[in-house]
Amino acid sequence: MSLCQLKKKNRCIIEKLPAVRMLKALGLQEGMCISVICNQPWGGPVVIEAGTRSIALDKTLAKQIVVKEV
Amino acid sequence: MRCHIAGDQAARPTGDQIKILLMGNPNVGKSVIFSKLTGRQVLAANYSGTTVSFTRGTVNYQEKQATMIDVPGTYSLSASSEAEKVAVKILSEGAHVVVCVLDATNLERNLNLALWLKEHNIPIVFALNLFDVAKRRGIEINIKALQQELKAPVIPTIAIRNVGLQELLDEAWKQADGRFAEGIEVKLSEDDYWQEVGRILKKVQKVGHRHPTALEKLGDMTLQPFPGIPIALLVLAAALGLVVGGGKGLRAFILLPLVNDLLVPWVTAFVSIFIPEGILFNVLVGEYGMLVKGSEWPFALILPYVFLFNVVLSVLEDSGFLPRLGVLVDGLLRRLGVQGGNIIPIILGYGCAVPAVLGTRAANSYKERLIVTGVVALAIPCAAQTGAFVVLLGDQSLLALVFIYMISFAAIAGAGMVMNRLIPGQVEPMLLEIPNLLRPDREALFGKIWMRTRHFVLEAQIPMLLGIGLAALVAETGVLDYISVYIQPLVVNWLGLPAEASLALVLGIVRRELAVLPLLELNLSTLQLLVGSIVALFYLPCLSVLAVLIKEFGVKIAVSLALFTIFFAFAAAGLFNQAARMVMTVI
Repeated sequence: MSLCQLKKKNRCIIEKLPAVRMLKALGLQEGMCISVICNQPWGGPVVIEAGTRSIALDKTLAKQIVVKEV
Repeated sequence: MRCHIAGDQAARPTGDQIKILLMGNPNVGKSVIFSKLTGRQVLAANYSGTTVSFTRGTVNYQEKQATMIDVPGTYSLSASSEAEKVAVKILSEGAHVVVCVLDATNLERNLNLALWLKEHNIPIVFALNLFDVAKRRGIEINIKALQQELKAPVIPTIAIRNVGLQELLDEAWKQADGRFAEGIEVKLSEDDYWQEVGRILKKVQKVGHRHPTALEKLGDMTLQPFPGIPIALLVLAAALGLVVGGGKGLRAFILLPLVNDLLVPWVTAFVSIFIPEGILFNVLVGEYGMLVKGSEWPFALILPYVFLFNVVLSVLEDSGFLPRLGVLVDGLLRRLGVQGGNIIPIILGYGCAVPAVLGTRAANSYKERLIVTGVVALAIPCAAQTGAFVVLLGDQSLLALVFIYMISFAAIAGAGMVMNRLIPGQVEPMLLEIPNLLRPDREALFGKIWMRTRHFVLEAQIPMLLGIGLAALVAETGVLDYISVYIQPLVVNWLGLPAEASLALVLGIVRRELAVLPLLELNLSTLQLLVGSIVALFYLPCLSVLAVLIKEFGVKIAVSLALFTIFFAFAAAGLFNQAARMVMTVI
């Protein structure tokens, strides 16, 4: 499933990241455990928690991130 | 602008001066360390991308000097953004030593850049900053182990309180050792680095379990649409209330009496010793004299609003609230062709358009830069102009003031949507790390407010004096009657304003608030006040903005933008005037 489909507060493991440099530069990696903090309205970003940090990800990017719910 | 003075190239230090590069991820406190070590104030804030080009300063150490360069923050050195290109270029020119600042609350991501930097063959010292915040969050870092892993000195610092900076400098000096090292270019796979980071992290860091602090809980709350959006509205309303209400109080009870009862009589008495009554006397200290209005307008009428805006802006910046606002409004701003992060230059624009235009450098695409710049230049009143509007309209009718701001918002939305259609290019997807919500440090806050307010006083005073002097001269000599014939059709017939109002239009070129203030003395009707305010709102950005537009976008774009704003100002205000008059005759 894609990160976009994940419900608020649920945890997941990243299975596949799209080839966007900044994602890795921000420290996101395949195999990492993250959770969704919230979905912003009007097509705004998905906010995720990775480790101790919050990252806002555009919906178009979130759609391309394949995750597995845990 | 005095801050962020950027040279065109990072030249080698002169003679045997040591060259130190200050590098690190965005928003880890490089600019704070730079300010503390060089004594040169640069703007720092709690969001990434505050430093959009490098700044150079001098560090004094035991009677020796070194050049320090504050390099823009980067996540990696792959030259994938403007900031990274600048960083890579500076690095490739070599240095004696690199001071790499690490955020102790976020070691993982920071270590990645640390490993990249290690490859460049320049001696390096690490500053482990925000050490106190990390401790409070239960993050324990074994400094000795980290030193061994990085094979370089690691100094824990709390930059904002000056803790550890002396040791950092000692260590940097030891490492520099007078040898100039050329930076070598390296290309390695990113995944290898992350594995290495993971390995190091396991060895040096322990994260204890504990309950989130109140500030962390608030930080999470401000990210959710609910209660984030209501909180954001509350914060903005409080900010507006403080600036408008507080400014009115400061003006009426403190600054106006001070200027009118103390300063002006004193200046008048002083001038009358040397100059007999006549034209020159009137130009200087007559009713509309240059020294009278030149004291009253900037100090009593405008300064309170500029000062309070700086207070509000500085608190918002240092707390880390602005990127959260950016996340909340992303969906909305996307309709205007820019992503949410651009709320930061837009808010800066309510202070002054110059830092706002420079701030757009952090935007991801040229299209977004242009849209934000266009919106700021056309429809966002700066703090000085806001003050002038409050003085002009607020005393007569608060509704009129609200109305002008409604028009401003409508124009922002309209201009954004039109430019989104016209300008080719895409809106970059948002990808933003949200900084911790922090309690702003008092000393840093005061420094910032002082720096910004002083900047206004220095920058505004001379153009204002000259402008007002010109106005006084024109009024005294009767030149105005002579030119009035030519501007009659535009100002009197189309805009419905008295001919004297054309003075405001001339002065508005110098400074934005001067497009408003002369209207104070004309006894205008409410409709005329509104028309005059609409012209002033959209009218040409002031000379310093024009200069920065030329610098950032070239003469062609700057001049077309300026001409368009003039045209739009007269068209919009004139149409409003004609329509309102028509409605009034019908009624």
